[in-house]
Amino acid sequence: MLRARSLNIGLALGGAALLVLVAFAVLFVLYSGEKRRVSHDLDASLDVEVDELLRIHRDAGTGALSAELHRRISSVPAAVYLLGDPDRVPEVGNLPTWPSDRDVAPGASFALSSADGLVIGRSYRAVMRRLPDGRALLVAHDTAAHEAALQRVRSALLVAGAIAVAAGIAAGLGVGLVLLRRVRDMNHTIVAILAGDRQRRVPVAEPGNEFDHLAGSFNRLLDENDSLLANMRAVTDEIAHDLRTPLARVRQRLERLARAGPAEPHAEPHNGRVAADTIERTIADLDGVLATFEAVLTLSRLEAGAGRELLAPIDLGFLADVIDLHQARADELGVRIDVAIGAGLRVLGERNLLGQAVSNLIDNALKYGASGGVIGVTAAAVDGMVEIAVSDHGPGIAVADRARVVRRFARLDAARSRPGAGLGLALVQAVAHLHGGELRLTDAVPTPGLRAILRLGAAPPAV
Amino acid sequence: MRILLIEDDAESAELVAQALPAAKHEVVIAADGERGLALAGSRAFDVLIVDRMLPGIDGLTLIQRIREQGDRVPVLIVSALSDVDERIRGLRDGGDDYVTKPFAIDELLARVDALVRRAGDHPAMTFRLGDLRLDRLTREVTLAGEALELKPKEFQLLEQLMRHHGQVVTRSMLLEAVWGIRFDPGTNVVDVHVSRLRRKIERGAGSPRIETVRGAGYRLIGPD
Repeated sequence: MLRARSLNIGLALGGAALLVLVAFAVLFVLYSGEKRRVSHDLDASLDVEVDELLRIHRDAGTGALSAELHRRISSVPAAVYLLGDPDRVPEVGNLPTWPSDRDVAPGASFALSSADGLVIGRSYRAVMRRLPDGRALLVAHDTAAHEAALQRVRSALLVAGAIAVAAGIAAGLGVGLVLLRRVRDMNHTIVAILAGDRQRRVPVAEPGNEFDHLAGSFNRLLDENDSLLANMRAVTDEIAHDLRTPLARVRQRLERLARAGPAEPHAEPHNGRVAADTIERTIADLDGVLATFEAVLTLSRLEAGAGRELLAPIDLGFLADVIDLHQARADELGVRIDVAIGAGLRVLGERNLLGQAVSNLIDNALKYGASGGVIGVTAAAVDGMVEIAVSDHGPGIAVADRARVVRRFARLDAARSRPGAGLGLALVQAVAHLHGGELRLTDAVPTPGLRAILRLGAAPPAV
Repeated sequence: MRILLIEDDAESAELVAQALPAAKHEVVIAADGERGLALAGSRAFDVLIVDRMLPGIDGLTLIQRIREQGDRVPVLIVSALSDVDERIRGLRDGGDDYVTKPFAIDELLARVDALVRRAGDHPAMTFRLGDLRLDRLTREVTLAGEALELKPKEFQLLEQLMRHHGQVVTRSMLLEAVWGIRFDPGTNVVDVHVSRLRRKIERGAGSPRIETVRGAGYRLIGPD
């Protein structure tokens, strides 16, 4: 199947071809019908005349028939008459010889032409009958008029056909122009955007047709792409700091160690301690770098959707273990953990990721909300979804800051406690999204405090 | 202990081999999958350490072949791939434990020791060390005959330490075994639990001690 390089031409040709095919089918049917009708008319008029002549012969005899034939020959120029004896020897008529035998059904009409002794260029339709006395009577009519009529019909139909073809091509081109202009415009816009004009978007009309929907979807794709790029840029800036700082320290320490000259005998133990100390700090810094790297990698992969195929229905009972993990620390801080995990709650999820998300939330609650004396961890079905909530009664997060804290590397305070620490909420949100859910930050009730809610889709109960 | 280390990065292999105490361990290094497979088949080893990414046959395929030959030797997989599903794959394909790079050498050592011990023994129903007695069936713990009140997780924690007594058990091993957690909680949660357990069991001369091995983990040792 050939593919037209331009859909436009393809549409036009396709439309035209289809129309032509349909048109010619219709025209053929019409023409065939007309041809049949003409033929039928011819035969009918022949039959009428033959019946007349037969009646004359029956009522008034052969003589009267001959006389009638003579009369008609001289008065009707477009007809041929021939009366022959039983042996087909011509007796009366304007045809010199009896036409050769045709293989026709008795009484059916047949064609006569110049081969039968007629004027060249004219054609006739003839019919032959046997008279009761054995004689043969042949009557033929000129088909010129009928041919002319048929020709007129043929011409008319051909004109109609040509109009149909033109209409087909026009329609195809028209559809192409209208539809494909939209497509071409969209393509131009997209090409311009990809070439660098990143703020632009494809125009969308409201309420809009399918093309507008396509344009809308494409715009959303562009938005997502922009946001991913922005994220990447942000990450690069912040990673630069979180990774370069410890790496710079490591470098400087090792340089200093390398520069240290040969030790003096009495300074040996001191230098040995310095070296050991340096190495230990270096290892700690490198661990920090690795932790940051690990966290960023995990986050990037989550945000890119990796791990979605691991989601399976899981019971939330395992959260009890996650909570228990933090229990000892809570006890030390003098914070009580109120737990209320609904029985039999199931979500579509990945145990490790969910565990990490909830662990992060509890960790945050203990870190920032210990002053409240109690934190709550609940899981319940709400509006057909499952909500896991961790709340504390510390200072909470101001509404204005809530959008910022879920971004990577955001810090609530200026103090940079541990490397990778700024990724806690970003990871929770990424896990939420991967699970097709969301993270909501709201005020704890009663205030002050923060209530972090993981809203996830419920999985059907186990059978 | 006879260890077969299948690792294509020569420097890494050397570093690991050197870290394994020569007195206790004999280490053989194979630099690619083919040699590793040949060696594993020809000599008996106590444990295999297999890098997942190998030239020629990759690590997982190698482990599958070894298992197909009916060899039940414990295998520790070392890999730069830290995805949960990669880990699951590694364990499903015949590995017994999985460590991601970069790892602290102590982590590797602790897990190797644990694997070998696990392979060798059928854990007893009761563990005894000094005056401490732990019954796995009745979930009872007594110190010098006196019952100790332990929370369920504390019991499991002690169970792990006693099972691997004398060996280093890393924080990540404890997180996996006791809480079923495979991520890093980011804070010193395990330390706090261990401190609490320590307070409960370290009473008197006859009780074992939970020693903190710096940078590695914990080790339960009997009373002197």
